[in-house]
Amino acid sequence: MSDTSHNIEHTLHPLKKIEIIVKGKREHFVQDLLEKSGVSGYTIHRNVAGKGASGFHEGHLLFNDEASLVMFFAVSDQSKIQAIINGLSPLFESSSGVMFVSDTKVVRLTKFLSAEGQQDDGS
Amino acid sequence: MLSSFTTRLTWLLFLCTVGALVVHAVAGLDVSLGALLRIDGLTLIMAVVVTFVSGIVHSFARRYMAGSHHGGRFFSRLFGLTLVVLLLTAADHLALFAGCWALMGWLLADLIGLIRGWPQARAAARHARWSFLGGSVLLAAALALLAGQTGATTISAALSRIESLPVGTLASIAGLLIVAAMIQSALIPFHRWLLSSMTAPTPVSAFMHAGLVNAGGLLLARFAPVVAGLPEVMLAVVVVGALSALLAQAWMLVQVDVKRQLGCSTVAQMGFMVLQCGLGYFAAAIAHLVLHGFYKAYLFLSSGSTVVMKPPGAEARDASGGPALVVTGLTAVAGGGLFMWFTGKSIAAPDGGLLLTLVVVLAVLHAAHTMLRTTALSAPTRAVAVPLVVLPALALYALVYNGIVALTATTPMATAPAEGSVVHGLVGALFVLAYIAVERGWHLERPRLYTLLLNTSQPAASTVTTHRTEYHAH
Amino acid sequence: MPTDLSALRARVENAAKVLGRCWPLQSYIAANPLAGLEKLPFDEAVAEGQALYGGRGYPSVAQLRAAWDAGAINANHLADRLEAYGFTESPAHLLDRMEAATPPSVNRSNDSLLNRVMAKWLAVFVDQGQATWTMPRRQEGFYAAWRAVAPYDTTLAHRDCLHDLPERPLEALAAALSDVEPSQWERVLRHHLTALPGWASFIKWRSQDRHDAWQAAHPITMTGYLAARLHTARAIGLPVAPDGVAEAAVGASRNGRDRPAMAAPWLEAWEATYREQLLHDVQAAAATIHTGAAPDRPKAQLVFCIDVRSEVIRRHVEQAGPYQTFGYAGFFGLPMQFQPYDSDNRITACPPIVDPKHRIQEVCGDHRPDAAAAHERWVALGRAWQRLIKSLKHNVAAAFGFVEGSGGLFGVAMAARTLIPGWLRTQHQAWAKRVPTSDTFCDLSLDRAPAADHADGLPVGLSAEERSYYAEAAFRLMGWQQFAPVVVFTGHGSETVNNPYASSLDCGACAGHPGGPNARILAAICNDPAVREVLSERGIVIPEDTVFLAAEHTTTTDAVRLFHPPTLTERQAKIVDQLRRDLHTARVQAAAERAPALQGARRSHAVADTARRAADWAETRPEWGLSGNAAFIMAPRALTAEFSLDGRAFLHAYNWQTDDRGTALETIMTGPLVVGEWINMQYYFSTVDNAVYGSGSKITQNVVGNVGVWQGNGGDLMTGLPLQSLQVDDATPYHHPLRLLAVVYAPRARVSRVIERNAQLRSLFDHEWMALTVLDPEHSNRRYVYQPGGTWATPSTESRDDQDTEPALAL
Repeated sequence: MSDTSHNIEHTLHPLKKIEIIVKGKREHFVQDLLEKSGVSGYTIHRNVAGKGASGFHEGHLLFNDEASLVMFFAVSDQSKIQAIINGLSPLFESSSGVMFVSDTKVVRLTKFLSAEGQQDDGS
Repeated sequence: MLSSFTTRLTWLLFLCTVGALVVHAVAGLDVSLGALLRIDGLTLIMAVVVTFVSGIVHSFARRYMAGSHHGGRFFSRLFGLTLVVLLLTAADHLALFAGCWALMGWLLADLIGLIRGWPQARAAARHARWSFLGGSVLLAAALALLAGQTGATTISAALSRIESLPVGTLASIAGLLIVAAMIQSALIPFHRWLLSSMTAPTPVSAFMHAGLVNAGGLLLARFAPVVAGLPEVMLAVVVVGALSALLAQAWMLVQVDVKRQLGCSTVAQMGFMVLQCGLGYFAAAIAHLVLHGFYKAYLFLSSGSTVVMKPPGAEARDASGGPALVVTGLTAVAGGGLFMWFTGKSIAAPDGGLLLTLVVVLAVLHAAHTMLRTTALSAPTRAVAVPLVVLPALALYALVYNGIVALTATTPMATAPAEGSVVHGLVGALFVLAYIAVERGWHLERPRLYTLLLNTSQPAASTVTTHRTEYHAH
Repeated sequence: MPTDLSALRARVENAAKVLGRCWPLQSYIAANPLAGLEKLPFDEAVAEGQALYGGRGYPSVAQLRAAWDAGAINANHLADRLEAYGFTESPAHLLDRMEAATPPSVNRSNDSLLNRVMAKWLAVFVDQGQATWTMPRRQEGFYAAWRAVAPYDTTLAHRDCLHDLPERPLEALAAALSDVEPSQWERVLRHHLTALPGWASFIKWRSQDRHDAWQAAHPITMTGYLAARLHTARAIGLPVAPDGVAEAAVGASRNGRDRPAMAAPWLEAWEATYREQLLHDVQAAAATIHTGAAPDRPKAQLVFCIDVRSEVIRRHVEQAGPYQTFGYAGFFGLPMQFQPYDSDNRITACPPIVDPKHRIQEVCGDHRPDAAAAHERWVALGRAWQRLIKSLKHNVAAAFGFVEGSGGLFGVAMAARTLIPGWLRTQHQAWAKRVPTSDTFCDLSLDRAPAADHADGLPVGLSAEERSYYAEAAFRLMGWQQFAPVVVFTGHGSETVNNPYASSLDCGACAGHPGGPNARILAAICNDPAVREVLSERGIVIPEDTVFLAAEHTTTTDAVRLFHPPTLTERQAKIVDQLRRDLHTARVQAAAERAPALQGARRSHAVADTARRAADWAETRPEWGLSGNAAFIMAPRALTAEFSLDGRAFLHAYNWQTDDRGTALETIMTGPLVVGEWINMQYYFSTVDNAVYGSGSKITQNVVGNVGVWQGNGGDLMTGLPLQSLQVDDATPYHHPLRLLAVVYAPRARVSRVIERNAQLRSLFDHEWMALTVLDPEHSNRRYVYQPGGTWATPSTESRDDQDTEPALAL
């Protein structure tokens, strides 16, 4: 993208990675949480299949988008990830879902730390 | 079955009253039955309207109320109310009139609380019953005073003798009568019972708004000679009516539920009707009652029709250029002129009728304005549409109005135009100002005014179903 | 975002879980009002519903008594169930005992004022076009708009405290909760959310719908609502956390009450009585089913929606001629938004559990410009007229003159609509014939538009791959084997006037809209030669001489209207002509069959009577909708064709022989069956407690904000179905409140596998929100009844010696 990028030494910056798996109907909530916490980018995998505490979960259903599982994948710094953890922990007290946090390293730090948290609107 | 019986009987009564109206129109004679009843043009007009609306409501409710456990009570009260109103329109004896008035209020309150298992319906009935009781007491006091001072027991006799009464007494009687009429017609500040009455089944509301609130107008028309002779009182009536008309119409703007919206509209229309009385155009007020009755009964009965899908966003306001404005203005003035010609008003002798003409001009102006900026229609269609809509409407109104004038020729003081005055001018200016303010959208971003209008148009607290567990269908 | 705020956000989400969702009236969705409690067993969930909302969870004693007296509850089944529950008294005695028992009441009377104030602001905020002067600053969102008006709300005694509220709802909510222990937040929030359950469930729907134009224009969130409510409570002088709320955890209702409910065995016996008869009939038909020899090629095949009302008309269509019928979800598998010609409305035309993935538009084609112009003219005229009337009605000064000018016409119209509704309809139809309908001159935007409208993320049109995919899905799910010369996809809608619940009678699979557009799109896809080529490569060979048509079944009158067909061969045209006549015959028969159930209708005048109901503004029961629904059958039509199901069963075509891997069955059970359960539970709860879960009597309803109704003067939004949709009169239900029985004609192991793979299904069956019986064709059509926990039982009536329960998964 930028012409100067090849001049930068490719140092790796430590960051946190969070992976979240929730029911399809919580997708909106998690998306909102990520954005309000200032995570500028994330990846969503819909129709995730797998087996867990509540048994096997089928991935793709043709006529039911609510019962599917969604996986989020995001990278950010410690403080923002902590806000996400705090915002999700209460949710997992009463509904199924998991999150994994791990250390990771990225090359272009600005890609991950650019945005401030979006403010709530007045709704 | 009771419903079938009362429905047939009501339609039969309707046919009888139509027949009697025709006979009356041809023969032009009033009929007195002893000292109790006197059947004149006003009686028959009101009787035809009441039996017609009651017949419609009966027929409608036979399907609409099917399966309701209240069918028996509903139809017996509805029919009873019809009879009481008929009797009221024909009553000549003062005590009979007062008795019918009180009974009418009692039955109506009972219908508002038809669903007895529902506490909010009972509360609404209670609220209405107290209001009507107050109105009945005031009316009884007025009539007692009238009887005591004139020594007459019938309306016709009493009215023929009022010229001998001192002004102070007359003004007291007039004041009592006016407040009684205001309560019955739900004028501000006595509107609360009407705006809390939506616990009544839809057909009851239709009959109430088309028939029973009209009794206030009937009262004023019946006792017109008491009021019309006092110019100051007449001016007060104009002011009271105009305030209800404009304020309730403003309330209507902020309402989001169909029935309360219609309720606010009724308060406004009744205000306008009282305003017409205050101008001395009692026949015009009666015409307004009749036409508003049809209008409002229709809208109540069709109150389930409003659910349509709409995209958000303000209504597209098409720009209207200079030529369109000229056309609009000319059409409005032409409409006003036509109205004056149709209803026999003269520009040469300005009286309160000018105010009525102004209202017509505003309506035509608004219709033309709306039509001409509907760019979805071709220009020729738009140009033709305005006279095509406005002319028949004016003609139809003139027909009804002139018919009522002719039929009430024998009713004392049916048309007694008040002298033009500054107050009339101010009221007219208020109407124009309100029109311009709303058209320009001056009100829109005013949270304080909005909250004020919304709060003052709320129903009585005890009549709102704040917990679903309290609702009961029977 | 500070971390305690993000935790609060999650607490709001958790607290709102107990709520169901309520859709606006324009697109009525029949959903379980206790959907938020579906993770609990049925019996516990209804007890929870009682504790939270004060709603009854089982049929009333009067309803049970009526069913018992009418013989709808078989004495043997009842004795069996009572014994299982340990009741020893006689049924009559038990009924008396239940009658004497008073249900626990929910006392929330001290928040009347708070509820009234909140209902007032919510109603004006969500208004969809009823008021001419709307709430100021709505576009900024609910909390912001409320914050602007609340300081002027003179009903609040301490409104001074509302002057310096935080700008953001989450911060405001946190401020309101500052005196409450964070561990109590969820309970306090739940207390406030369940105080006005109708409005709260409407907000829940709206804040979650990503395609709703009104939400986009005027956003509202649970957080915003709660922030406004809690601060209003402060301004009234009420405690934010009322006494006792802290202790009221979900599940508290489980202690100290009659468990299980006394009515439970009665409900089960009532269900067993219905199910036994149904299963007996289906099993008998299964025994005589012909396998192997292909039947004669029918003249035409008609695909109807799975809706219970289709069963009646399908039976009569089949009897009228050499026709075959199928059941398929009435959105025809198309997850789309539809934008009709000449309209700004975007109609979501797929079930609530499916997200729309495409937008299809009706666009003016160039083949009939004259028709388009005529249509345009009339529509413009009609709209101008309506706009004129509305504008005059609401104008501050013009309304008075308008009433005088128009009153006479309203009087005439009122008399005509009341006294001669049937005649008016005939006249109106004759008139309407002059206005060309959009299907005669419009094309559907099937091709993927190069410049897709990505404004809300939905691409316009379908790619070639998607088109073949949806066509293939349809034929695979229905187990299609042979194509007739004419195949008709028949959507359905209703015809009714002056009815706020009109959309509750339309197609539930199309989110409360008529299914005609979906039928037209699938027919167009299947007529596409490119699609047919792809399908034949995948083994679905559509003969050259087969043409696909679309139609719409009007459930109120049972009329079936064919949409403008494509070019037909002579033979096809002949078949279509005959089909039109036979559809009319079927209509007459179906209407006559339905007549006795509609009060006051005579069989001999059934067609005229249904037409009158469709056009009568005084009619509160235009048709019975899905009342009566109690079963969902996934099987070939042969199993249900030979007897009447009384319009009580959803019928989905399913052929176990063409679905070795069970993918079709999985799609049907996770999609249409789940929607069937939503519908069934809506009818169930609206019937057992019409005040708390239904919307009460139509005669006192008052439409508010163009989105819902409240009763009388205002208050909570009434959700669910009105009394007249369910009951013959104030006391007698027409709908039998029974939980749905799913019947599958397939090998049991295959069904087990589907349940095992889908947690949602498993939960619904295990928690007895619906029941499941499998007829296993590989085990001589034996019945297997699913038991909570995943085992199977064979009914004792069928075979005494086969009572062992077997593990669900035969590995």
